Amino acid sequence: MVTLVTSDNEKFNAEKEVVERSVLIKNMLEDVGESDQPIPLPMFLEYCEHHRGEPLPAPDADTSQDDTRKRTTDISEWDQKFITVDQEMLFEIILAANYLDIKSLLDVGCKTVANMIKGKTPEEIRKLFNIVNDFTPRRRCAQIKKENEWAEDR
Amino acid sequence: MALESCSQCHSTVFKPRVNVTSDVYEHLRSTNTLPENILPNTSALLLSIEKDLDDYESEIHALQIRIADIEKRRTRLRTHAENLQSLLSPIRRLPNELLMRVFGYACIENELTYGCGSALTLGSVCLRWRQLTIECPELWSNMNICIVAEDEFDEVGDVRLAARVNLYLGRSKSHPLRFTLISIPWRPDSDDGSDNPIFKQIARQSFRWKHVSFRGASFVPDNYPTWDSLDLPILDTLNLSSYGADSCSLEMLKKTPMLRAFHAPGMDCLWHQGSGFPLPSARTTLRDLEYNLIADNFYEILDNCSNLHRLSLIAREKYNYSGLPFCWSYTHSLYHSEH
Repeated sequence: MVTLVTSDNEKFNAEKEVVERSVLIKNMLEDVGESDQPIPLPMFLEYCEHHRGEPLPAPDADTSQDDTRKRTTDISEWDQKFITVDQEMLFEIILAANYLDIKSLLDVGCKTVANMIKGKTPEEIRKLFNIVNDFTPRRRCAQIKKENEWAEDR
Repeated sequence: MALESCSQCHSTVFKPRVNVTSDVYEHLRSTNTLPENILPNTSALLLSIEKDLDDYESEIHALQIRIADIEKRRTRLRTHAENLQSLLSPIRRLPNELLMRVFGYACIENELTYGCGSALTLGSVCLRWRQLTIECPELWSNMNICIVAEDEFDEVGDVRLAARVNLYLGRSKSHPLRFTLISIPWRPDSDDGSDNPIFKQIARQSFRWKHVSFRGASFVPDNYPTWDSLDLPILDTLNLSSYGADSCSLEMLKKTPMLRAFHAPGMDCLWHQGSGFPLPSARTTLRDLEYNLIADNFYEILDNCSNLHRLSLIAREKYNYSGLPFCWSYTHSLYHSEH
């Protein structure tokens, strides 16, 4: 068993096999070895628990496999439910998955954002993510103006 | 102009020359003629009123300028607040490499015929996204293009499509291309579409074609005279589909030294018998093959594609398949369906 401590000092016990879905934690456990010391990291136990036993992507994974994985934005039903959170949490999950090096979760997060973007105009995307249109008139050269017109065009 | 303090806002305003009184109603309602002294007095009063009205105009104008200025300042403050709020937007927390990962998924397919494609949309959101998308040729290298039939030629739409294709080809730089081309004019009984400027643009970049899907007519040399001039050194995957039962000539693939996957579901694979198998490199490179089973050339295809990992055959009832083996040692998996 491994003890994980969240940033607000809450402790969780989890099986090594589960938490090792995070490459970061796996490496830390390898570096630290057998120890009673808790690992101070926030954890996505639920996600890792659900995906326990699934093969981890090898660090030297075949590029064609990687390419195939990248060719779809499909997300499994369970993952979709798991990632149905508000934007604040969604981007927190992506950042944490990246930090913890949980590639599959990182993909689920990024695919979710990509699916939110698909089919929308730039203005709709700005509204969705609270992004300011910072193409100031001074910067709107003919090329950008033309491209923006195409992009807004439906 | 005399000044006084406003009774309501205490700011300095001009003091009018004329006091508005109700005397005038008495004179207006009077049944008697006006007294002699009233007329010159009234004329003088009217002159003063003119001046007062002018001063009111000036004061209103000054206030309008002030209001406009205040409104402008309020708008600027609102914009500033929106900008500050945008700084707190969760998506801004993503570093460039994660944002690019999201963009990669969003740009798996850039629909250029019925839209401008995701890469261009993303690049039109804000400056940061524009810079990121322009710096990543991969995002611009996936395209879905539909070239319409000549009789449905839409000059405005086609010029726009050509401009978009040009933009995507330019921004994808030297990155290998992945595209789907639906070419309605490519029918056996009509122009092959090779004169279409959009096809010409794409054909000029044939040395970058990596994963290509065509939906058109029979894939035989007579229908695609331009094909022979294409340079296809890195073509990895070729998917063909037609509008009906059709055939494809494997001779069209003779200049594809890296072809790994060839999918032609519903198509018969043919070549000129006697001239040898047209894909010399297939023995080592071709790993995935899908086509309509023809008993006549089945063994020859298998003999020449000895590195297959996946073979998918669609069998037609009119052929007699008895005696054909559907399992052999060097094939890891075999999919067989029968219509």
